[in-house]
Amino acid sequence: MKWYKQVRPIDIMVLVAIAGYVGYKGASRPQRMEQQQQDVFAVAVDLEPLGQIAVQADGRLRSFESHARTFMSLVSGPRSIDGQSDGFTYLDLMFRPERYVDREIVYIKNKQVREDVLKAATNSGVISDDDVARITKRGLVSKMLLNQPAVGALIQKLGEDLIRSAKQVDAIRSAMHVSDPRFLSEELRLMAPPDGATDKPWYTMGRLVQSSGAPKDNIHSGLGKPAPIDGLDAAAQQELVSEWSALRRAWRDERADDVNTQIAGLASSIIKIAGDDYPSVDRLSLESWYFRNHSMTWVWLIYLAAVVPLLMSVIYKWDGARKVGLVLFIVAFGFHTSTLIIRWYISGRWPNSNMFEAVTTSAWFGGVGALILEWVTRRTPLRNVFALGSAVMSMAALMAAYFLPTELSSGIGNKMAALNDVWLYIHTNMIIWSYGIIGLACIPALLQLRHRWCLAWDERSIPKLRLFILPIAMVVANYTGYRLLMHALDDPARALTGNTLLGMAGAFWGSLMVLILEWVSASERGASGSRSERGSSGGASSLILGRGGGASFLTAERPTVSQVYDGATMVLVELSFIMLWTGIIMGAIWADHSWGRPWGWDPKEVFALNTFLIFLVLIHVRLKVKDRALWTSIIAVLGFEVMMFNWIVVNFVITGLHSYA
Amino acid sequence: MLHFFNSQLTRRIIYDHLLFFVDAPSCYPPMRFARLALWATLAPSPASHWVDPMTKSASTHSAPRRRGFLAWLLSPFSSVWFGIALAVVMFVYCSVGSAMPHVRQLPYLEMTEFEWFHWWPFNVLMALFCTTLVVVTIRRIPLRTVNLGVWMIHTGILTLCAGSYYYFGTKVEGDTPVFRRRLLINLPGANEVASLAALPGNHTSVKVGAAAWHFTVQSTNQAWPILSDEHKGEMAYAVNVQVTPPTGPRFIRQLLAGYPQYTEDIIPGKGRAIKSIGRKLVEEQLDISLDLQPQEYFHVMKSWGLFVRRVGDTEWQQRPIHGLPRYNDRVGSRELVFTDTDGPLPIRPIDLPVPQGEEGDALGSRSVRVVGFLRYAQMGRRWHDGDGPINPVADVNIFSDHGGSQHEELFALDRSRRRSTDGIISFRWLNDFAATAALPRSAVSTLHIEVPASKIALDVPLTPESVVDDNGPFTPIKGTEFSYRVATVANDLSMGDGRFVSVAMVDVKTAEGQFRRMVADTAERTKDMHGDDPNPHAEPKRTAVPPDPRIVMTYQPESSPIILAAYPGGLFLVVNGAAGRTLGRDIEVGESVSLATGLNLRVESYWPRAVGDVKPTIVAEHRRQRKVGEMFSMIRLEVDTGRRVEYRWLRFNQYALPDDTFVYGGRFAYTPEHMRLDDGTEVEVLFSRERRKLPAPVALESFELDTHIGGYSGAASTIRNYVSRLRFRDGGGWTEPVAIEVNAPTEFDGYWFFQSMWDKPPRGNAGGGMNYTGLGVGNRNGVYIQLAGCCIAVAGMLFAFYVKPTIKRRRHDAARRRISPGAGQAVPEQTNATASETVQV
Repeated sequence: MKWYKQVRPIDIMVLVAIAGYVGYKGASRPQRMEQQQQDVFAVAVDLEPLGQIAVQADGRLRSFESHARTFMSLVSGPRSIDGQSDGFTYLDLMFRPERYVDREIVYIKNKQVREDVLKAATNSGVISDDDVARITKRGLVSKMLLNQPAVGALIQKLGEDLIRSAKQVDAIRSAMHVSDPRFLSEELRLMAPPDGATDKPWYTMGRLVQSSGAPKDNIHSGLGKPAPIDGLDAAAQQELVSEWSALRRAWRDERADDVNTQIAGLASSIIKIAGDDYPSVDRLSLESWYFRNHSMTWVWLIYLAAVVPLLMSVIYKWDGARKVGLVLFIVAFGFHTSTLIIRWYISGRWPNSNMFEAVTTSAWFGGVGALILEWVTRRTPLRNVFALGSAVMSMAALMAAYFLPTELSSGIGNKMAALNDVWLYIHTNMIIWSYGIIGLACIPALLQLRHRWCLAWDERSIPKLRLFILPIAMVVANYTGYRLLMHALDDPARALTGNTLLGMAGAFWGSLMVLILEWVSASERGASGSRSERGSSGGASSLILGRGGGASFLTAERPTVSQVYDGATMVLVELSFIMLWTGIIMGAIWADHSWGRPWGWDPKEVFALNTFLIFLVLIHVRLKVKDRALWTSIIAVLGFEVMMFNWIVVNFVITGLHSYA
Repeated sequence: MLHFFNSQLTRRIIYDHLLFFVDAPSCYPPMRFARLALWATLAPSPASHWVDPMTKSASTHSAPRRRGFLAWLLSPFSSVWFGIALAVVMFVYCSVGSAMPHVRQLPYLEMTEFEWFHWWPFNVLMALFCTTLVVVTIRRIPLRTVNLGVWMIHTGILTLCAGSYYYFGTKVEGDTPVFRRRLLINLPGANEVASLAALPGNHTSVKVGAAAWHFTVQSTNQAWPILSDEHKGEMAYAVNVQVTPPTGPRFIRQLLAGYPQYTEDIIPGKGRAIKSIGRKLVEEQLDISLDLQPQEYFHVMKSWGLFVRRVGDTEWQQRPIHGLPRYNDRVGSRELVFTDTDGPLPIRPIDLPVPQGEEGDALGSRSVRVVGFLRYAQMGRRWHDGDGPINPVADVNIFSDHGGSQHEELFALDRSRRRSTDGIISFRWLNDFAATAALPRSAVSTLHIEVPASKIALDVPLTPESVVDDNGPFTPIKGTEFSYRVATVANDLSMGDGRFVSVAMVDVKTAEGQFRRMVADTAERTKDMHGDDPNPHAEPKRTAVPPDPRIVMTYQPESSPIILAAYPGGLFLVVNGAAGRTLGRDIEVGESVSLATGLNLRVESYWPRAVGDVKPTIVAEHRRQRKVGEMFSMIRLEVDTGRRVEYRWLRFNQYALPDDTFVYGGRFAYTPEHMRLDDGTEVEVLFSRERRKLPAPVALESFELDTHIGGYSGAASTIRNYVSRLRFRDGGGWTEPVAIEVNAPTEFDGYWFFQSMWDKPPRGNAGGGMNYTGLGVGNRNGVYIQLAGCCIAVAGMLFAFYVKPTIKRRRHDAARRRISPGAGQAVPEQTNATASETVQV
């Protein structure tokens, strides 16, 4: 049968839903380039040489590009200012701060605060309707607007509300502070100590300028000018200072050629003076490249390219798509691996210490698991399912990192003191690996649900209209349940107003009732597929037994689709069951010597336990129900949801001791 | 009782019930053995008329076997569905307790996370879960090789539960600050060696006869580089003590922990004593040394305690408080508190007795009760107009158009509080409106000089340039014989009796010589001081005489640029710049007056005869800082002193510190309340947490911060590690230092010590801070049982998922090999495996 003949309405529904969502998000995304053509000077300036020099900040040595990116993201969040590079904006803010007084550079992330600010500004008549529309869309406001009396008073008031808005106001204030030219120059410690001790505090250009020409004796040191820098040759210092001053002048006069000459000269002078211990130029260039390229999160596109043929091959048994899909998946995984290695090289540690790293590394671990399982099951009907699961999960993880750069900030910082332990590697990797596997298990489980839907459609065991209502009710129940939960958790960003609360509650209970009624009537009719579809398949046991030609669905002549999905789900569920449990124990061992208690009922711990409980229920429900495959898939999806709740809601809403990962 | 147990009937019943566990899968050997053992234990009597039907060792028993009560009771526990239901209930219970803290914090629950997960419903749930595990495992899962995995998982989880029961049942967890050093001050002739915590700002006096020495800890430095001798380059912990002897100039003694040989004095303005006076110590008989500051106690997490002692005692006696709420305010009357908002205040009284704890408690058997609890409040004073004496109080708001504002509460008759802290505004009381004309017309201090004989009068503005110190030049007063020199000015000096004086010290040169005049802001306090000793430190030797009438001086101290004056019937506002007056007008309460472009002033409230009420103010929910724990909690204590019932609001103190020398610039709260008992005893009470003795006193040898490159910048991301080196009291001495770090605790006598808090260096002072470390203290009984349980479960999971199918496959293969020569033979292993599959994992 041709593959397209197997397409069912559910597939079209899913595709339409995805396309609609992407279209809606795309339409509401601010257009970056549309606003104004880039400044000619900004285009002409070449900051490439600065990408090779290091800045000492936050206890690390990072490339100037990465430094600028870190600071500019504190000011303008995920937005770029008129298409300028972060490095350019950083220096421009330092050299020509007056240009930024009335430009929209401060990002207000919280939509409610954004709205309040705009309301205050509109009431005092300082902005037009066009401004309001633009600002609402982009979230960027000017410092001048924030300094308006009415807006200033509002921010002061919002800052006093420690529950709802103080955090957002702190972010605005820090953006104002960071964009101050004095702060930016204080933080730009470019000059390594000339004696080669790169771990000592570095010097700012301001310090060099101030101390240049200072007499080198004790009596005069401290008289107005700071003491001279030990070991720095006066002539070299003078040269640096004059290069810096020339750069500053050229920048202010917008002489791009001179700026480029001075930047190149300055970069080479700094590296020349610094000595042998200076961080490798290759590493710094790579770091700059890495951050310029969105931390390589665009790899999601390759995963997307792999997902499509893999889906075709798994669902429609289209063998031609299989090879293409696998090759693309391996290519994507290769890129994914290289992002990890690059990050490892740049930061000097395995990437698993912040949310961005946890999410991307977890997806990568899922990929490793998938490749191993693909190898093990290469001659069984289970093949491709794991690759597909991994491709979908990695795509989702990297998309999240790509589209939510504020929440999943890819900045590289030092680990906090509590994380400096070998158990960070053992416990965290085990847990995120198990999360990766739970994610993988969700895919065959979803495919199982789709398959059951299609069976019901083909066998007409459930009226077709109801088959449309079912998935919609499921989505509505899930989404509204989530919003209601956020409301119950008192998350200000997602809390509901009175009217929506009522609507949401109605939608939730309504769709829940639909699901329950459908489920009751379906089970009465035995609608969950023909009897043969209910066959249990087992996880690893079926693989092991099947190898010897024993009693396994794999040895059957034609295993059913249900059995294949169920087998794949169970292989993954079993793995995650063990890994999650082991990871939790490892966490307890670490907590025992780090916090003095193996278990403290911290929300993160409790929800890891809850995830485990769900899988525990799954395994025991299989002992009792008739249609194991169906129930396994439902509970596996539920387990994935609880895991995601633990990762997202517990981290961002319910703060506990595990606030860093 | 024994008879009861020995009776045949009882034995029979017990047997029947226990049989329940072992009757179902009685076909396999271990259960047979258990059954036989049971029978042998309970039915050994030769007179027995009943036998185990399976052993068939007697045939007198023929009636069908009854299921006992216990069997009936336990039958639901052998259901897998029951176990699943329990897991689901546990999921819901955990989710509610963890993700919805406000549920467990409801007024009638009042539970911490720990308490929620040790509440009886959870314990019951766990007990049911464990029972199900035991019953299901024994009844439904035959103990055979293939089922070892499930048995191991279930046994592991049961072991974990048992370990956890022991662990959480005996868990003690707390924390304690350990300070780094104390000063031991030994003066010949003093009664005792004085001790003082080496924390900046601490001061003490030591009396030797009638004379008093004053000591102030000026600063500490955690990384003082040693420049001398063989220790050059090493870093030491330095403490600088300012010493004020009864006579002679002040000096600073620098002490280095671990290097007593480098103790030396520094003379302010002159540098090291050895350079200016030729010897290291200014006062050689003064012996100050640094000693370890032992800590004997720790405070239990999430607990409450009341501490009592007689005034003058050094040791607190504690009374643990049980049953005190933690999250919800409990007050019996609206009158007892102020609230930050107008919202309703639920009235929920509390009356909790606090019985005597340790022996020798100063309150003895008197009734002590907690009659109020506030989760987050601060003592606040609110004013209302009374009909008592004049006491003008004004609440003034200075605000900018940009939204910034500064609130000041000013007291016209209280000299210490009539000016705002930054000095920008002051509040005065005038007897009538006419006096407003006499308000100063400039903000600068002035010295008014009159020489009546020459009819000369001049106003000298006292700017920093015109105050010239003791050695500055004299300024002649033209047309007179006098010249003057302003040595110093000092404003608002406390006279100790509640009065204040501002003075300018002016040296006056006359034809006869020179004298010093103390020109006060009130004429009656102005005095001349004559004496020959030019040494400025010898002032006491001068004799004070009434001022020389030939030259008259008055001192007008600097005034605030903004003066708010109250007079009977109104308020008057004056704004003076350095150049003179820019504004002088009446002002109404609530009226905004522009002071300068963009800057306004409004008198929010004004009470001419203010009477203050001091009560705790409940801070509105949205203004509460998060993560401060109980720091702002308060209790209302009721004590029957014998004479009458006394009430006190007590602020929460994180630790029951011995005295206020550990307050350390406000880092720690120390707020005891005093009361007098009927027998005249003065006692003090303090509200803190339950305190326990450490297994041995602990002291902090050193405390280091390990940083990432570039050193500590104030950001947490620059810190790599904290290292506390501890010594424990061991017999009469101290153990060798033991380092504890983040992730690397140490154990001493059953308790584990963890690095948990630190003394952050103040901003801009990298050498400061690090004067104490915060230790977490706790026991960990049973963790190895827990760990063993977990490991058994892991092994079980691996077995069940991966080993069991392998075994089954091997049996399968073997069976196939056996039957391959001939077809149609039965495969026993295969059958068994299929039969048991329904109940296996």
